[in-house]
Amino acid sequence: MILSVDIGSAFVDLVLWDGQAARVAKVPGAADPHDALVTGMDLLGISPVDVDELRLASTRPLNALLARRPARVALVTTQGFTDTLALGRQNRVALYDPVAASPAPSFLVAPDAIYGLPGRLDAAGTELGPIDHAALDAIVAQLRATGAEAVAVCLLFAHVSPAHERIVADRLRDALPGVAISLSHDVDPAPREYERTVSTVLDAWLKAVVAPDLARVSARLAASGFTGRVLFADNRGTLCNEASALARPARVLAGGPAAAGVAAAAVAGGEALVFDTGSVSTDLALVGADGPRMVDSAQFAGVLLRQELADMASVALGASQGLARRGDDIVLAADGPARVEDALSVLGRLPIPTGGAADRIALLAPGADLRCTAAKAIAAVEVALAAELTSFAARRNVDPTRAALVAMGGLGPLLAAGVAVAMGAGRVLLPAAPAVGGAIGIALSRGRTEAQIALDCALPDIDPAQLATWIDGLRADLGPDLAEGPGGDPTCVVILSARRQMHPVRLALPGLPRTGAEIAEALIEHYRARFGVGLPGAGHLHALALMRDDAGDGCLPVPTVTATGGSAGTMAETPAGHVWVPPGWHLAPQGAGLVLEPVTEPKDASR
Amino acid sequence: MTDLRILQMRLDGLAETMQQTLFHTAVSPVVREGADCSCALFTPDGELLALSEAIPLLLGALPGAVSAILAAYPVSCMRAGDIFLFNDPFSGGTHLPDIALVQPVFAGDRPVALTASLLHHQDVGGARPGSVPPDATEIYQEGLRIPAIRAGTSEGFLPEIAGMIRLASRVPDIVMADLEAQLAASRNACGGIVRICGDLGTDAFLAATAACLARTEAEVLDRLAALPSGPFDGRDALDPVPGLGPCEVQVRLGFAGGRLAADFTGSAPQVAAPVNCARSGPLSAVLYALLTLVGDDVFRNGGLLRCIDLTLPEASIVNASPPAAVNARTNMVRCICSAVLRAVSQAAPARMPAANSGMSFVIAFSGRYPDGQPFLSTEIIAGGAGGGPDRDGAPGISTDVGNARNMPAEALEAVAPIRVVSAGIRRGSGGEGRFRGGDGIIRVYEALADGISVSVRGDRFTQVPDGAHGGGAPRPAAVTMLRADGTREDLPARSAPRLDRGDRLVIESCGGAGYRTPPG
Repeated sequence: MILSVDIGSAFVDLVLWDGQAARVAKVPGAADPHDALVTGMDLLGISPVDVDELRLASTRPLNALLARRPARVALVTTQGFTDTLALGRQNRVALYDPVAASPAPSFLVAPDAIYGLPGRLDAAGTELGPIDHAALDAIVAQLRATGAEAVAVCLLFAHVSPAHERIVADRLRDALPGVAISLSHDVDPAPREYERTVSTVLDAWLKAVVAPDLARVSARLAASGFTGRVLFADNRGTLCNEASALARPARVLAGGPAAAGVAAAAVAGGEALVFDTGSVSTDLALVGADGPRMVDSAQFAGVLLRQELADMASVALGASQGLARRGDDIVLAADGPARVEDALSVLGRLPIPTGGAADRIALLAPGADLRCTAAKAIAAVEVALAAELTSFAARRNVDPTRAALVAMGGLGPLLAAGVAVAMGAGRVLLPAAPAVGGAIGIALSRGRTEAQIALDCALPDIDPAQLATWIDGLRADLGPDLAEGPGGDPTCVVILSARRQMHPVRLALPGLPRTGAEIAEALIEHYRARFGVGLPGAGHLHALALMRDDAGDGCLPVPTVTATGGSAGTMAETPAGHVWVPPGWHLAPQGAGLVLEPVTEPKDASR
Repeated sequence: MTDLRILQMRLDGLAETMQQTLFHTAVSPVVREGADCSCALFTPDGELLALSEAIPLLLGALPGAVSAILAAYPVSCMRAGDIFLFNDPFSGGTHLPDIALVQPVFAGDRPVALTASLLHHQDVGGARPGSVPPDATEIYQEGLRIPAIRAGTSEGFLPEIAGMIRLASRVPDIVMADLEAQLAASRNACGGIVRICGDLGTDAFLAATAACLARTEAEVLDRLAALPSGPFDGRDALDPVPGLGPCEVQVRLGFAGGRLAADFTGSAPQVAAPVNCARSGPLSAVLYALLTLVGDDVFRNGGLLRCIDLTLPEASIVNASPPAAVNARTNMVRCICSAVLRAVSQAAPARMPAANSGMSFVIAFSGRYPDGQPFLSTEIIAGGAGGGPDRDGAPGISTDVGNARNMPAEALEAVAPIRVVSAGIRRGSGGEGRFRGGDGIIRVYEALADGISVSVRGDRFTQVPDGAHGGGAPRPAAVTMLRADGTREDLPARSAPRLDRGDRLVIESCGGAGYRTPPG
């Protein structure tokens, strides 16, 4: 049995796949996600012993990051560069705001927890000055005295030679047992000291703040007899093993939103715009038929993620969003007296009414008709969501009125029709159990195993024998089952640039390369196809990876569509979650999910 | 969400995609690290349709470049795939390293838009490597001057045009690779515009783009009409240099009738130094100021430009005539922007912080490695932001018309025999205040080879901005040479020192001004 679990801030969503059928559960879990997980397994009639594979995503790390939760994280960097994080790239967030603000995530490390260490490498990785051990000892004493929970180490040119970072790491591990150490050459072995510093301090921050929580879920299940394997949903919409998730928590930071994209792709079968509205936030993504679109780096939750990830965004708009009155209008306001869920409750769009909802909505417009006030509030929410979706799509040159719209999450299906009207979309698609859309996405995701080595080599200089050795080494890292799987060779992915210092791209090669020239051909073709120009250099290889995705078994682990109700002006019930069907609309099964559309609109199979 | 807003967002997104394409395909460090480039889309008539989120310093240049090209090649005689080049400061450009590439976009056989990009090229000839000679007195010392020319097709540059550019440049391969990057950016945007025309229909696209411009114009007129009509005066000046005169900028802003009138009468005559700027400079500064005034929900297109009236004295430092030298225009545009923002502060006092540093350093290193291989790298170093109105100013951050990114030590050291000894915040350099001015930056470089030429262009070495509402002034910028033999030289704002092995160059940028009297 495969159990997919999406831990949100207020609910824990479960999808159980036994190879034949899928069953779902959604359990309140604000206090303790583990208790909610156990409750959910009871509801599904299974115990931890029955589970062969546990698949996890948790929004809690992302919420902690958005809340800027403080942590005692320290940074050891090259002397003379202790301001690298604060200065960022000297650019600003909003070009035309007269008050300039930096996008640098300085909150990750307190300024007095950044230490400059003498010792220097040059651009070729050659030592110019040795690590100053006395200075390192003094730093260690400070780290002890201040009780650092995690230490990030980012030294200049560590991506070329990790020698100095290894010396520092050995000393820190000896002196500070139990403290998480993040090394920049491990976390993000690529040039540009600011970007690598951000990756490294984010890794340290996540290890200090949230990794223990992540590890606890499977540990507590194991104590109840669970012996299966544990996978995590990652930022790409694939699954990675628990060890790599805990080693690089930033790679699973947005696992839930990426999985929602996987679910949306399965429902839409083509280009689609998805929104997943939950208790505190809405996640947006644009997907193609194969799953989420990928980008090589992105600013996410205010932090630069320099890694391959789904093209998505997260905005603070969910059930707990505050509402306030401005003149005759109801607007979104963090400190408002009522919440979005109150307005839904007053309108009868929540299965369980929220206590005190009517009183709080009344505060918005004393004396006015409650339903009228609530309807105004929900209209404002729907317009705000439509604006976010429109902006997200339009900036990617996708006409939001033409792309398929997919809604999910606890609130998405309750707002879907209004959002579609506000953005000019004709209809909305929903997963079969829309309130657990993220968990369905996790159930649909494929496991990916990969092995990677960092390199720094001009393509014309690659010796075929050396290349074969690297690939053999990666095959060994993958293990015999994956290195020689039934589908032929594993996929080879290269990270490379036209010239050594240019920004790299990630390319999947058509087969295992035998020469540097074969790799160059792929890069030349990429430049031709994407940019229409020749390659402005001879090509430079930064990393080589082999990966293999688990083979799917051809079945869709989604529940059979059994939506009930759904006549106009009512709430339809699905296996997980309700759908608001406004007057003049109807809800019907379609493919692996549901479609919500106006009754009068003629059906158009192309949309 | 209206259809017009969706269209404007798609166009903005395409301009931004062009910018990202340059970032990924440009070879020279000042573009791929410093982001010294800008992209835009225009109507076939040459009105601005959309802008990338780039350097506002270049905002005013693309409309000028497109106008110059359309004057020479009316759109009716353009063919699909044509590409045009241009860099002449005196008919719309900035300075000679900034080459604009413009390409018409056709839907079927109808021209529907123009794409344009501007990129700071590493070297287009002239007296010194980098084409930014701090000692230039005439444009003839600054490199290759390119009028509006048809330069080839999207398949490639005409061999004779490429040959001419190659012969003029010290780094021909890099310049041609960066021009190819501009070509790549254009091709991407062309495809995107064709997709929109396919979605909407060509007639509807053309009508909707016209409506976007009209909507911006109407909104801007409306918002400016709500401001006090003025006039509001602002002035600022570059550091005085013996023999050059005062280099003072004067501006009078008015908002009568909902239009932004900026009259620079009284600004100093042009000087025999490279600090002059052409019309694109004040246009960039005034357009930037207008964008900060109207708010972020107004479409950023040519509707804004329709509301601007510029009055520029001929042959002045803000509107130079041939043969003025203009390569060090950056700090003149900063100075113009400071004067304009001072006037804006009187019109909209609640929103405006104290003055920012009003300067940035542009530094170019060039020479040869001991094995004879040439190198050339340009970088831009910001000062501090002004304090207020509700917080301390940010340290070391690009402000107003600047938005260049800094040069990572790991990027510079990989392409030049130079060590970055330190790169940090210049603490205490921001002005005192209830809200402190942001500190400037201090960077220390050490030469690893003999004979490295440096071009240093800065400002605010003597004249610093005043604080606002009782806040303090920042510390001025400085450049110091620490020779390997222990001697020390203080260098002026614009200099061309030579570094030998072991020499250290210390660059200190100016902080931002403070806001209100400090507590206690």
